[in-house]
Amino acid sequence: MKILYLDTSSQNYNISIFDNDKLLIEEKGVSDQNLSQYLVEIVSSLFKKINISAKDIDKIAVIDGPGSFTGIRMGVSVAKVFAWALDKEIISFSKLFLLASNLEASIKMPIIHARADDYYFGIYDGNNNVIVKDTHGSKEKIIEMINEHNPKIISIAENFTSSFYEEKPNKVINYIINSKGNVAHSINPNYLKITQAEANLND
Amino acid sequence: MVILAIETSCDETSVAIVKDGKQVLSNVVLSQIDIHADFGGVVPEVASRHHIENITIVIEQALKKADLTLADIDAIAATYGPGLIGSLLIGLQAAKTLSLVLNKPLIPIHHIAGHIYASNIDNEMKFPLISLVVSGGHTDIVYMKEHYSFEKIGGTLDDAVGEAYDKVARVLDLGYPGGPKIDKLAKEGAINYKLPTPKDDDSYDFSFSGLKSAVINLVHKEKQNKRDINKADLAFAFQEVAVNILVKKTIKAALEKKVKQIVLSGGVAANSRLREELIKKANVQKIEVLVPKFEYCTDNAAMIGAAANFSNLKLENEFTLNAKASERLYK
Repeated sequence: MKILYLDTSSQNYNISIFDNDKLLIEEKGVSDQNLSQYLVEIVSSLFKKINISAKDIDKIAVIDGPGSFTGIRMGVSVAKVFAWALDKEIISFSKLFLLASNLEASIKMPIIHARADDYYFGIYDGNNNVIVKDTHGSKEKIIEMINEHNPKIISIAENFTSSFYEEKPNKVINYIINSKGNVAHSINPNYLKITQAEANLND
Repeated sequence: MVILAIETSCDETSVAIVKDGKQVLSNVVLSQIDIHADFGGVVPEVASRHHIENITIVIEQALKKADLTLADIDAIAATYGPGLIGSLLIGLQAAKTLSLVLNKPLIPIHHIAGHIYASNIDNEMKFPLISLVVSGGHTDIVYMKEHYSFEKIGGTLDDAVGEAYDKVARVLDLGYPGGPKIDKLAKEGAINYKLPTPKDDDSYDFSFSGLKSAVINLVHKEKQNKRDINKADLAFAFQEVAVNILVKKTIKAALEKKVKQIVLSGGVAANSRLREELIKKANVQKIEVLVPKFEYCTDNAAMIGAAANFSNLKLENEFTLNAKASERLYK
């Protein structure tokens, strides 16, 4: 089974192709404004390098958030159109789940900086099952969570750096292989936050 | 050539299937107008969120309505600019991805080129022509000496005319979008208020910000003096000034360039008074006026597919096309 993996949600992007759990090729880098311009070109060049075509992909896995709103949409738009057009299996999951899966501990807390005093986080157990659903909150809220759950942290966010940080997709490859595919239409970003305009409207 | 066209430059998610630039096999437009009405205008982040949720659904509907499958598509066209960058990006990523997976060429289309070519769907454009492009984001006079050759000879120096309509409608508490509401209300109005005609000179440029301010100042003044505003009369006054200057400069350009046709394009092309006045003045000069059907006036993908048929730029196996928030119409 050939898998196309896309993560354009945060500062580091990762486009990888797996054959089952074996990594065939990957391109990683620092996301910038040009990523939206080059994303499909990167996918195309990876196909060429390993001499496959889009049709050879069996399953698409995409990170659906949280992170940069525009960044999330880049990966998700390519993934859902790709899967829909070729009728391929597609799954999406959280970047926080990916981070938790990269960490070995009985209680884990992945943290991603959102903006100013706002952070995305979740709490997961040793098998990466959810203890506290992905959400966002202030530094104070996170300290409260740390005191309550005593988790091991995985983060590169300011104020909450951890000694260990990895975001390797091979840590979730079995999850990707074993997860049932979804309808492409239903794959959408998971921003965890409503827009500022909607927040103002609700005030 | 059967083209699948995508347009997501603002708040409409639209996909059309157009054959040979003429036959619109389907034109699905999912408008977010009710959503943005709550905010009094288009909120870019909200628009982007709706585009990505609906993009594959709208593509699927367009194919279904045309009774075709992706295997029948010869090329993909998409608006690359100008527009809201976050919105444009969704349509463009979708188009680039389709181009990759189907191995079909990608045709990038300038949004204004699309608006102009809307008139070529049910009519035949004859060159040279002058197009007046009027919408919420544009007020341009464009000269075309042949197919797919665009020369902008004038445009607004500040607000687009559609933007001025929206702002005036807001001051008069008419709601969003303002264009159709002012147009309707003006029909009940009469000469009562006098507003200045902005940039009434020999250039082909427009200015609507002063006219808009004049309306706002007049409303404030009447309120201060505790006088009621006759909204219909004010709508009438505003519309007459706006329409007259648009028509005057368009006719002047048409005469100077000795054109065969005037093509009215963009969302404000749906304005009944503008249509009426432009056709009347052009008739006097014996110049034919093309006006798109109402459904092709506002943002839609059919016009993008219609334009794509005449573009020579076909990107094969090349996916680095970038979305451009502001982009001049190229020659």
